[in-house]
Amino acid sequence: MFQKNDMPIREGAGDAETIIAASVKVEGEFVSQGNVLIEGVVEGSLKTEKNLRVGQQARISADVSAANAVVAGEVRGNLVVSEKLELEPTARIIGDIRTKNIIVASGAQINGQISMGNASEQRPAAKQPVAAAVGHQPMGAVRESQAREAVKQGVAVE
Amino acid sequence: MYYYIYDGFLADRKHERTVAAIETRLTDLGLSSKIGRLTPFTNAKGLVRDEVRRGAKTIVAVGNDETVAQVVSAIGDADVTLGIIPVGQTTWVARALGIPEGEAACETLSKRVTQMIDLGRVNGQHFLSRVSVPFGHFTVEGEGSFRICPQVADCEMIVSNLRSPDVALCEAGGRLPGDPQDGFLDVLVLTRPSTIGRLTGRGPSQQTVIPLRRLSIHAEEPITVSVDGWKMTNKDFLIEIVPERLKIITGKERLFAAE
Repeated sequence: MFQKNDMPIREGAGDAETIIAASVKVEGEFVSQGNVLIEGVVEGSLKTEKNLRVGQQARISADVSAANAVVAGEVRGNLVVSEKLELEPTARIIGDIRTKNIIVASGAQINGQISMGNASEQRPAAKQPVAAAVGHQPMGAVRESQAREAVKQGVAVE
Repeated sequence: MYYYIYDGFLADRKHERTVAAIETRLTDLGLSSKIGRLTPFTNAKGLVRDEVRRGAKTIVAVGNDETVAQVVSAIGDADVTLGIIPVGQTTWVARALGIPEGEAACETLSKRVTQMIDLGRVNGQHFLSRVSVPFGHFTVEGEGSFRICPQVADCEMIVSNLRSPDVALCEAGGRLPGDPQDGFLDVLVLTRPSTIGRLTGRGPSQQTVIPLRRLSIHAEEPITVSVDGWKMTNKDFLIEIVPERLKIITGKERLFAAE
């Protein structure tokens, strides 16, 4: 029924201890202590102490908290990433972001506020509203000032 | 002291020679001991209870996966070591534990390499390998805080403690799900590959893996799940991990705790 050759290891699944495939929806408070890969749907809240990867087809309607995150899909909710957040070209964020480091690929969409600095701090750093589809941003860490500058320059601001 | 529990089907003529060879080898190795037989009038629970009371320290299940399941369930909370001599079909559990078929298993028994492993418990009954749940109209709740809802009908849910070689799995987090020494049950939602996928060997990669300590299943109507091959019908199931519950004799080729 489930043949070995029928189940190739997926790209990006290698380090994930928890995998939510495209065929599954999770509702409620989802908490994990390990790496998490989401390819399906999550509604409620999502928290992991380690790394999170949101696949291109994934749809998350939840407040998300992780140590590091790579997002290629859609997140509707606030994102708190204590270390590094990476948004891939297909990423779509509808909510506020608080993180220490951010990498935004060309094409990624952010509709919300970005707070930079130590994500674990209770007092958020100065907020900069962003509603942008970031275009032609080189891959690399974008500090708060750089993010502000990108918005000032009107990089594909909606 | 060893105590052997033979499954009833071993009385069948086709297993006569295998059983004779096993008994000869056990005698050669100095491991021959008392034998109990499962029949329609004796169950594993009664046999194990009586022999543990008489001082048995090692219970050996002789038979297939169903035999092992009965003996594991019968051992319950007793402080004994489990050995297996696989005979008949199917013997996935023995293979996962690295125990060869028939007479060769006597050598494994003799070497007595033991591992302490977790057991699963479903509605109070212990299981070693897995609970298989055909998807239908029911809800699955993990850790009492979230629900797992498959979005396709053609899939199967497996709650795995000890992975079985008959279910192919992707690695998750550098480990294969179904490690009986990690303190977790792995909830697997497996989507069946399409016919084309099966023929071409390129089926869809639809494997959900969620490590949990506890989950519950609730259905409006009674549903039947398979617990290590045994059918259990109910409307509500509480499935949980019992960490480091059973000492078991394993072979070198086991699928966990590699040397």
